[in-house]
Amino acid sequence: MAAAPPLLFLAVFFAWPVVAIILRGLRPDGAWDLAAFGEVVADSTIRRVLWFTIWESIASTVLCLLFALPGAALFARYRFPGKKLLWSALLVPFVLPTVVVAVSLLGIIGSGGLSGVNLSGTVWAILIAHVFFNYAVVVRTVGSTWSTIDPRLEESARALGARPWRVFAEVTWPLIRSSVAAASSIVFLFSFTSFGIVLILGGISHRTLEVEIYDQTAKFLQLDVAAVLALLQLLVVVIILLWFGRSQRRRSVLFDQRSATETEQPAGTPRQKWFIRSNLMFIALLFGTPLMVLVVRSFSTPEGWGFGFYRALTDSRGGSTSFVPPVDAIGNSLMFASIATAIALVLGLCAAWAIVGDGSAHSDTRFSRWTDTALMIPLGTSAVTVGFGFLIVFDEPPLNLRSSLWLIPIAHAVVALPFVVRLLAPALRSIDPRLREAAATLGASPRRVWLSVEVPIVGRALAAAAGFAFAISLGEFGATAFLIRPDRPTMPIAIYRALGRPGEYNFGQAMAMSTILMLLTVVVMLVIDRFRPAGVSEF
Amino acid sequence: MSSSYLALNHVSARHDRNEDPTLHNISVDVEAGEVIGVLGSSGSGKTTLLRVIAGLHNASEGSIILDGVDITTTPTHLRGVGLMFQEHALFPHLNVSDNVAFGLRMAKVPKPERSIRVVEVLELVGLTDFGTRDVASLSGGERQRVALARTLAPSPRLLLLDEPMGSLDRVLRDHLVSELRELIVDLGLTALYVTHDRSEAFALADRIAVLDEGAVVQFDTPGVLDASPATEHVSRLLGHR
Amino acid sequence: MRRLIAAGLLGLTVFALSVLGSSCASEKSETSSSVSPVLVNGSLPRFEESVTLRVMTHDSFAVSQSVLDEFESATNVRVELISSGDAVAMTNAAILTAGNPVADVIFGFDENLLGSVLRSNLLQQFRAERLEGVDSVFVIDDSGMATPIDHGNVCVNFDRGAFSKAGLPVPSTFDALIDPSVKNDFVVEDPSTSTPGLAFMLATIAKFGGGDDATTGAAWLNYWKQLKANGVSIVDSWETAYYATFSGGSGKGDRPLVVSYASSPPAEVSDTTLPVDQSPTGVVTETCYRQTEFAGILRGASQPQAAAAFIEFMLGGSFQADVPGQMYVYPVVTGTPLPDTFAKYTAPVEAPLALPYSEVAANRERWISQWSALFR
Repeated sequence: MAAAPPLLFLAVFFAWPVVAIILRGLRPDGAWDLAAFGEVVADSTIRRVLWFTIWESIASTVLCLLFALPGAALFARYRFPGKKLLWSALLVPFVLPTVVVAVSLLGIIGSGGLSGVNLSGTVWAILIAHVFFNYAVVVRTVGSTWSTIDPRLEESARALGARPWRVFAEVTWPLIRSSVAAASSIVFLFSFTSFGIVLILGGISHRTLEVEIYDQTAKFLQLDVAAVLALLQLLVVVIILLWFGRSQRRRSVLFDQRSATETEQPAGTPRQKWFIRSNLMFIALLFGTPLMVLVVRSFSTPEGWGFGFYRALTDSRGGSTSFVPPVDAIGNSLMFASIATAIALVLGLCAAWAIVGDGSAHSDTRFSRWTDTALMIPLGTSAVTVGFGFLIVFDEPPLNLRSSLWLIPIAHAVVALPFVVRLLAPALRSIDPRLREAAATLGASPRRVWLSVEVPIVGRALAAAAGFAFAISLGEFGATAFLIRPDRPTMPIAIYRALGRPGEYNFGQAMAMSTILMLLTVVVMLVIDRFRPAGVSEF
Repeated sequence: MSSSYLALNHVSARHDRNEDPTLHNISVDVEAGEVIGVLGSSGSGKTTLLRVIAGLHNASEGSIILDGVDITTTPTHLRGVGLMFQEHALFPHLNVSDNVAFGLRMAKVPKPERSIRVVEVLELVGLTDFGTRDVASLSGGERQRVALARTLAPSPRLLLLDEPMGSLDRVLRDHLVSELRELIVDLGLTALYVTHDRSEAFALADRIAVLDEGAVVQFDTPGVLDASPATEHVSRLLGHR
Repeated sequence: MRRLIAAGLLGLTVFALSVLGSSCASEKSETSSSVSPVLVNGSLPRFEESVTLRVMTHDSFAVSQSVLDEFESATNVRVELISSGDAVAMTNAAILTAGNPVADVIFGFDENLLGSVLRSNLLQQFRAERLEGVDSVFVIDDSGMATPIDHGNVCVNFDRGAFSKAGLPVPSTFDALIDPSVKNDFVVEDPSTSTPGLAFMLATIAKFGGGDDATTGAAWLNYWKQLKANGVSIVDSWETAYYATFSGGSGKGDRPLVVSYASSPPAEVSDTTLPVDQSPTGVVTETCYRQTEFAGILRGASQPQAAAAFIEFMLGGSFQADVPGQMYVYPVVTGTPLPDTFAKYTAPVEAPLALPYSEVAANRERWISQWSALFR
């Protein structure tokens, strides 16, 4: 039953537009025209693009895990100054517009960049940017689970003679595996559908399927070819999702969850100090430098250091329609993000609940498995496919929504939903069914059990999910650019607008607005993390 | 330097997890085969003491000698001490046998020997035929026994028990305490047993160290302790008055 | 129970889709319509009842609020702006919804998009009376559907400081761009993804010819081969080219030559007392290619009269004079005054390169794939 609202939502706001645009491509005049299939299959460029997309995604995922798992351990196990701030700040890369990040990264690894190494146009630039964007996905997803593991399990293993890496391999890994699988599938899909990064940093020789679909749809309006490519993308995404889903389920283990404050500790041994320091160094290098470049640029005006660009944000340029007071842009962003987060959380809870069922073995039905997979598909689908789909399906009453502002938070919620589910389902799944049974025997109705037992327990995951949903909405550009009304721009739209014009002051304003967006993100995440329910041990 | 089996010489330790206090200048000598009770109210530092001996926490000063070897800086996994927690900390992803076999696998004991040893130890704790059970399906007492079996399997040089009866009910506890004492003595093990419960300490220990605010305030046999408590605090802890 | 719901949902979706599929197919009507003149004695009409006019534009559209207010109060028409990404995405979104449009007026497609706009029967005929004042070079749609509103030039820009520091003369011709002295100095946008990139590619075709040659030996391609040998860098977009790769003005990169607009140099001047020959960046005039932006009334518009009035308004004095300051482009109406900085720091482009739009429409895909074969 709980699966109905999210599935209906996705059917209307995702499946319908996508199927419609694909059908428009394959049945242009009411008759099937499948010639494009032959065209695509015979095209060696497409085969090359597909191959590159797949291996680039795998490489990005592996690289991201390699760097982010130590980060997850850092946040799950250690107490250090500035931890809360850093945990919130991790989501900053997630909300910054790709073009801003890419331009900042080029300031370091581009031609004439700070590092002195020019990686622009190479696959390395793409991989580095993917790690930059997805680091938080792994750290926050896996870190949340990891922090609930009783450190005494690991200590017992050590006392039983396991050296550190074996403690990880034999005890920690089996317990975090399912959340690693969940995070990996998201990183994979993000890398698989990477668009701006590939265009800007990859140069002209690197193209993903996503870029190809965008060009065929928005640039050339070759809907038949686009439809075949979209189907191809869908096929790969479904196969990957089923594979991840299987490993995630097979490997999930029930365990007693601890509260995070109970499991963290300050660095004791020199080895731990080194671990913390090297992790923080990595974070500073990966995130600190490009973001610093951005912030520094926002303050270096032609007249010297100062707030000139920030003041310019409020200059209406003679009352232009393209001018929006920064306060309004912030307000628009916050409003859309709040609505999108609310939609995604409500639907996500329903979905996660339906997927996990009552936690018993027989609740793992084929239905719940397919629901799980279906919810993830939007992440692996091109924004332009959905955007153009919206245009042709929501054009008649009662759903004449094409120019409705509601489509914006709805589109954001479609993207955020899988995150919410990915974070909530493992948390729900790891709840001992006896807790539920205990509550039920105490006279609680299923709804009460859900509210009084499950919601608090998944509180951490819920807070993390709310953070992600909010961040996704704050940073979303692709769909927003397509659906927004010029007088209600979000912050990323305002940033692009400034960056689309030449001149120090336009560039500077884009940097200033980006800096404000970064600050806003950190503040919002701090607030969300503050509201998260306290740990399990407290009830 | 004394000839004792375990010697703590002027051991101090600084903050551990949130609430734990520090240890101040602790010196204790334990003979081989002795069972020592470590008695103290919560927050007195008794858990930290065990963690320092196990190497899970660094001593900031002093040294720890085990069987004539200074182990102060030896990593936990090379100390060969057995540690058992109040919550048992059974590995949720492994069944009973695999939990018990864990330490043997780490010690690279060959598989056939390992299986024999697992059966042997499970029999010792009275859990024959529990090998394939999922640890989530065990009762409190059963979990406690599996944890004990897991700690005993690799034949530790020193047994450290942190409130192992903490989560069990009174009747079961009294029964298990005497059983545990018998087992430790039979196996000839040296053990430190941390508890806040006077009766448990008295039923089990040859000698008792009373901890208060991170320092040992008295270290004597139960008889002496009972007859002449050193401080007001000790006598209150023993339930006098 | 769950399975039942799922099956029900699936059924519902499939049904909805099949209905949709058939309705889409039957929607296409190929009648062309036209809108009659709206001006009253040369001035904007006033509508008795207040109407809302929806204007579809690209995301770099801008107009002074006071100018827009002028239109609204004169005509009693409320303007609602709708944006759909860049000019290309906007045009294709409009084509996709041809006959049942999101808006009444579309503004911002250029001559390179004009071919597909006309081919897809997107617009209604409307001949604006104020077209009289527009220079005839911009009135290129004989079918009378697309009305020119503004124009600009895509040109190679140079970083003056970099050249004076190196002691080199500022380049002034196409040939100067393939000179060994500017090796690894030039950045160009990918013509398949970027509008200025496409314009520069068309400029080389207009200049060197060979556009009808489908072989790899076409004259214009030979020029690109020399550019490639001279280390030209290709990037995806104007933003990447100008801000991340170009070294002049507000650019943060290290290449002193970039494909941008004739109107970019004034934007780099903050001190208007600066002599023209000392402005941070300048334009290689020979490389300039004309770009005209058009507006049209969408077929199926619910307010065709108000739409017509809006097009007349865009050709009126106040909008035309507003265009340079807001969108960095030139007005199409002859004699419209230019803002001071604009007039001072933009080099006059007397005869920009251009190709007939029909030729571009017919060959663009082939040219891009010929170009791509060289660079991918």
